Amino acid sequence: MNVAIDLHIHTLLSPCAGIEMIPVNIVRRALELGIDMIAITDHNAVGNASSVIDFARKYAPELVVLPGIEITSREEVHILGILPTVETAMELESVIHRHLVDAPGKDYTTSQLIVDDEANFIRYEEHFLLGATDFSVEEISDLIHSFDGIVIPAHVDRESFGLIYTLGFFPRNLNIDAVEVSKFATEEKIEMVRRSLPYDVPIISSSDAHFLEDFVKPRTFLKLREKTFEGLREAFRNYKLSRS
Amino acid sequence: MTLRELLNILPLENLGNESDLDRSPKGGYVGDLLSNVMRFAKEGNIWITVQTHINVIAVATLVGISCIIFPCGVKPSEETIAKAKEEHIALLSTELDAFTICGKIYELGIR
Repeated sequence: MNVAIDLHIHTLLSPCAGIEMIPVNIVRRALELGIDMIAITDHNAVGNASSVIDFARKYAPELVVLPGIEITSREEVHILGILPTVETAMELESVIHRHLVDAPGKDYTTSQLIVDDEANFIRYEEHFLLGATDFSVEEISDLIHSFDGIVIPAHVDRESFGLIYTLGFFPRNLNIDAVEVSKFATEEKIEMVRRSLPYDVPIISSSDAHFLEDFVKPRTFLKLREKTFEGLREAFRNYKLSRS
Repeated sequence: MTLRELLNILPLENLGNESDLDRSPKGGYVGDLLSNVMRFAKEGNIWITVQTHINVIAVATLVGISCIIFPCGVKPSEETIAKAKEEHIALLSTELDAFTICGKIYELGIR
């Protein structure tokens, strides 16, 4: 089946995201735009992933919501991890939280909200989510894979926190499953990314929505055997196989 | 002025090859975004950066950087140090911040 994906969505847990990014609004907007599969990818945290997943299961089972995280490497590169289950995502998060560099003396917690599926306030996230971890990009990729996750460098075309601008070029021995370009990437930019890739992986496009107005019509459609995490992983693997 | 002379005057620690300290750098550049450094740094420059990924050595080789200085007590990984030695890029580290070490180097006439 042909599946429209947007694997990079923030909730109100990300300090730079809007307060309207609660489960009901995210799910409704994704359905309005004809998206079949989304991933919840807050900065260095997964606290709201289960709330969006629960909401969609109850009210919109046709929309698949995957747990994910957008991890900041010590080089200030953003890497998406998409995880098979909420449990593995939370285990990964606990490792990330032990390796997040703190911002002493700054009050940031009140902009990091964890809510339940009906958007009732649960608690503030106490770790400084806009900080970087002390992991290199290679270490983050290995870590996500150790939890059976999918590794996708985020918005590699962007000047801030994109891999190409930060590291100059793709490191040879980085193990990734796909790369993401931002919704602003032109055809020329995507071609530039394609030429600079030393590995044979698919290029996907996401909205990186921090506010409801950031959502866009899906640009990436994948042929999946089934509309699940396994189906997604299989499609990324088969892409490599079909071209090798 | 050679890198060895700089090392004697300023609070710097040598992390690279001893034999790579006899060259005289020409000017310098500061930057942590490697794409920016590839564009704007010049051959012979001292490069001050907190970026420690192994890609810094490839960028230094490409540009012809003579020496990388890591400020704020930043230390690169063994892998990065080994690659720098192999490529004969001098590596220095200092506890001073980037602004201060730049000012001191500039004051000594490297510009």
